[in-house]
Amino acid sequence: MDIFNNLGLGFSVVLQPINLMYCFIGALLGTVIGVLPGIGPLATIALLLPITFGLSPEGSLIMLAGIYYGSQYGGSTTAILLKLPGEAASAVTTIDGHEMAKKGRAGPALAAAGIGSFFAGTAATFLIALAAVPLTRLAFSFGPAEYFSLMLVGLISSIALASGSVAKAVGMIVLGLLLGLTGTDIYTGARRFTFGTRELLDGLDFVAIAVGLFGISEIMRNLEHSNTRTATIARIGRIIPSKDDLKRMVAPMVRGTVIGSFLGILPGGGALLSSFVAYNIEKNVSPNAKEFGHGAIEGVTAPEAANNAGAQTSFIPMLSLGIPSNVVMALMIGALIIQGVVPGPGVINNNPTLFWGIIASMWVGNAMLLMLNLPLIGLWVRLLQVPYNVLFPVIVAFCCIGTYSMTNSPFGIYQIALAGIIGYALTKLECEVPPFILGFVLGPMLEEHFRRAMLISHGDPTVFLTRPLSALLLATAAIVLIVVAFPAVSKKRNEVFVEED
Amino acid sequence: MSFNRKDFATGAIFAVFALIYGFMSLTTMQVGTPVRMGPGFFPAMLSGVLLLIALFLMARSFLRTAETPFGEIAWRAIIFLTIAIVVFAATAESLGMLPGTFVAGLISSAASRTMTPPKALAVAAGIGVFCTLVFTVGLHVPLPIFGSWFGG
Repeated sequence: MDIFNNLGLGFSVVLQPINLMYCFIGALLGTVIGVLPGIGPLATIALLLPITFGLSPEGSLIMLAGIYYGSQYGGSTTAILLKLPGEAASAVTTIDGHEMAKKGRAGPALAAAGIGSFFAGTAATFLIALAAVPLTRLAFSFGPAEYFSLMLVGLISSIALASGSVAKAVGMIVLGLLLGLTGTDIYTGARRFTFGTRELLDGLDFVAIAVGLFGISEIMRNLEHSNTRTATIARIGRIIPSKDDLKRMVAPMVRGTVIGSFLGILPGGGALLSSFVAYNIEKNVSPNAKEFGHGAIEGVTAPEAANNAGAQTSFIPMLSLGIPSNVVMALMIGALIIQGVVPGPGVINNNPTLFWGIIASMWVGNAMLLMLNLPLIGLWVRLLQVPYNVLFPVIVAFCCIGTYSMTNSPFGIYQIALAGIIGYALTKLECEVPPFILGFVLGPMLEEHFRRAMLISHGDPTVFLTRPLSALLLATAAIVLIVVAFPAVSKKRNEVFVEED
Repeated sequence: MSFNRKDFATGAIFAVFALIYGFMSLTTMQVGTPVRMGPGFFPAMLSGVLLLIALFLMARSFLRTAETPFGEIAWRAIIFLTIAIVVFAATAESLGMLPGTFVAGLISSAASRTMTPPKALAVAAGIGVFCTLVFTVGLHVPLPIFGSWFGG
């Protein structure tokens, strides 16, 4: 079987001591920073991205992937112990997780999250290995028109995840696309929007912009209120779940994994959507439905399994098509490009060690997380007590140094400052940043495929509709747009996001 | 006259970007034809779309007047964090890692209302030492511990 050969190749990469170390460091850093409230996977990766530039492409991506699921995992720890979701995807975990903690069952809740995540991670790894090759083959039948339409689906879907006004989200996407075009035009070499500066010839600095928009503006938001956080941490108690707990975990774990794996593949999907959907479905099918909201272990297991599965399978479109399905994947694409790897269906053939190495590393990383977290939970809890006043100046310093180390010039750091202010202003105006970043990353790609498609069709724009696959994708985009713009749906969507607070 | 200030402001910001970028695309770049697009074609198209969205938001701001409160604005954080970052950018190479991160840490500490000067000094010193050890000594970020102002 090919899949075993491929996974074998992957494991031979990840089991090299140096890569094992990067995987471990990634999972560890992700957990450490993810546990700190208010810093989710997005900010964590944006902050730590520059650290990975000096590594090999394999090492870099393995570490970033580790940071991603590590920080996701760290987020559920705070969700259970503090009722503070470290990131949006663990928001539903707070509902039953923290109830369990209040009843003195924090240990089994943490174990349920850990075991559920590990099971989902294992299943999703196999799914990725299975799906990657056929999807890549499909990708080769993609022409520029299909790529353009697919990216449009991704962009439109990102609106579904933004919680505010649809018009604003579309505007943010377009603004991102526009700013993403800054720099030298690849076809003609013409300078665009550089305002006469030499520094902008290579475009705005993606990392600096991401760090400013997410990291710095988040700090500003946290400093709005003068009250410093006083954390009351639930006692953990016995970690090992009882036999009854284990029995109740099995079905939700499987259901969560299936839901998460599926939603993760969809553009615009990923961990957040997966956990919400899994929780709601579980609430409807579980024989213990009455306990939901009062500390049902199913209410922790299912969303945690789903969000981990979703996080993993969201790598599929990124690795096989070169298209980010969510913002974290956009950051990963940025990292690939910086490493000199052209993202897309070519990766699997041109860089098989990188491709399969990342996939195998996901399983290894998940196993490490389980070992890192359950026995050492007491240690992570102590991190929760670091006061924010100590934390935020450290984050600022990290942002600056990280960007400097990438560009070797102060210019990127100025961009952080500007992006920070703009990001804060935009969130104050209820404009969401993730669609902007997705647009920013996709801008150049979208333009390239648009121009190429139009060139091939001799300027006939109907090419996007006459090619069946492209038409199908555009229809999907249109349906998503109509669905999210429809008042009844958007009201429902708001309810979901209100619940999260 | 009442209107939704958030929608209106968003629309205005979008409009400014759309006009500036659209103007630049149309005047300073070749637009070309749909078959042979110049560098200005795609950005001009995007600017047009953005302008439409901006007009829609501004028009809607008069119809949909209810809005959620702005809440407090963290002026102090905006000012001090921005200064800290700009100062670091401007002086990092001359100051070097240790003094540079110390200064940046000290200025950014002022962003919090609950920070006292002795605590800020301690935090800044900690940041300086920590960043020097991690980034210059450990990860070999090309920033000397002491920069040119210290003869480094």
